[in-house]
Formats: sequence, structure tokens, C-alpha cells
Amino acid sequence: MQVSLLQAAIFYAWNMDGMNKNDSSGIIGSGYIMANSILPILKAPDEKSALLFKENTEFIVEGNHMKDGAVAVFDSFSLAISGMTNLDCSLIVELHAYNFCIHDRPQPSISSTQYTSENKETQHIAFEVREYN
Amino acid sequence: MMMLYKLIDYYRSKLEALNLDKDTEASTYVNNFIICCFADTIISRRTRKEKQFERASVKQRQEIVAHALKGMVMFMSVLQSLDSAAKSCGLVESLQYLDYAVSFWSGSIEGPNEEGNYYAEGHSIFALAYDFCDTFDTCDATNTDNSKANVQALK
Repeated sequence: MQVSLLQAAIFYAWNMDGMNKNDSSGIIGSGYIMANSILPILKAPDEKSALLFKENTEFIVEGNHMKDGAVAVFDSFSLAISGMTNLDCSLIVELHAYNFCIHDRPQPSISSTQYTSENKETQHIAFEVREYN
Repeated sequence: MMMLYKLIDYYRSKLEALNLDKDTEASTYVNNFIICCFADTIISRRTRKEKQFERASVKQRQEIVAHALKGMVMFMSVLQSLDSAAKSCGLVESLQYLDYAVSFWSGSIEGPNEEGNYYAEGHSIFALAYDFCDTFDTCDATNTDNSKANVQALK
């Protein structure tokens, strides 16, 4: 059941990356609240990761969202979910090239060249399908 | 908005009255939640337009409330029902609590089938899973409209 919340938090955080305080997109509101909804889940195995995720998805008044960069935040996130003994990571898997089960199964992490703005644009379009009106 | 507060107050009182056993997954989640980020705190901060939210657009405020209900209030209702079901294991009430859990998890719009109804565009936690299964490549091989997580949970 927590899988869908984790996926939603990851998805919105990915889309928040690079948005700034002036951006009026609803994704920022969704990302902020979904991050808050999974903090108690993340906090149990890895408090540090939970804090990093919270800081990067805050409803900011200055600067950009995901200030530490998506790769750093997701690396920390994937480490935290590897500590969730009751979670089958294969139910989460990956968002585009980033594998969130990297600490469960030895696979290469995403490189900076794989993490492109083109990927992100595709995600924004996909999101439109079921966004609240 | 009044209805919303009443709904949240109801769930909060239910949760606090639970007196959950220590060190269970449900109790960790609920305790962390009540301390740090319960939905009504966030929603009231949003509506009072505290500094953090003074620049928030209408769309962002809508998303905050809608997702707080889905990701926090309803999720905890499922946990509460499952916890009650476990505590009343062996009693008739146990099945009733399980029914509550499934109803809070899936909602009614999904219909009677296990795979739900993708085209109904529900907004439950169940619907959230199949919303994202294509994106995360976690759709069930036998039913691409549903996610593996939902299929596994229903087993």
C-alpha cells in the first residue's frame, strides 16, 4: 500500500527539480504534500534521508526546489527504502533511467548524462493525463 | 471547508484513541505523523497563508488539500482499520474492519473488479498505484491497467 505513496513522492519530486519559488505549478503543492505523507515511512529506516527529502521538497520561499539535485536526493532515498524490510522494492523499480532498487540488486546508478531535461519533459506530459483540475 | 475539518478531526480522534502497541509499523507511522506533519496542521497553515504558503497559487493550494486527504488522512484510515482488524482477529468484527480498510484504500468508484476501473479516474490510494505503474514500469503483466502492488495487496 505504501508503494503508491512512495512512487507518487518520487514522481513529484522528480518533476519539482529545477522549479523555483515563482513557479505556480500544482506539482509543487503535490510534491510537498506527498513528501510529507511518506516522511514517517522514510524516517524509520533512515532519518537523515527523510530530512534531506523534506528539505528538498519544502514549499520554499527562496531559491529552487530540489536544491541538492535530484540524483543526490534519490541516491539517499533509495538507500532509505533498502532499509525497509517489509517493502518489496521490485514494486517500485525505476523512474526512467533511475533504479530505486540499486541497493537491493547491484545495478549501476544513473549517470548525469542519462538524467536529461528531455526525460523530464516526457514526464510532465504524462502527468497531465491525471492531474486534478 | 467545514466538512473537511470535521472529517479530519474525526480521523484524528480515532487515531489518538487507538492506543496503538508500541514499535508496530502503524504506531510508528501514526506517532510520527501526529508529531510532525498531520494533515490538519498543514491545511490550516495553508489556509492561514503563513509565510511559507503566501506565494502559493490556487492550483497549489488545491493540490495540497487534495493530496493531504489522499496521502495522509485516507492512508491512516486504512492503517487504523487494519490495526483494528488485527486486534480483533478471530472475532466477527475483524472482517468488518478489513472491509473498512479496503473501502478506504480503494474507494467505491473502482467498482467490484480486482483491477478497478482505470477510466473512472478515481483518486484513491489504489488509483494512485495504477496511475504510476506505467511510469515506473510496475504494471501487472496480466493486467496492464493495474499495478503489481495493487495485485499483491489483494491476494
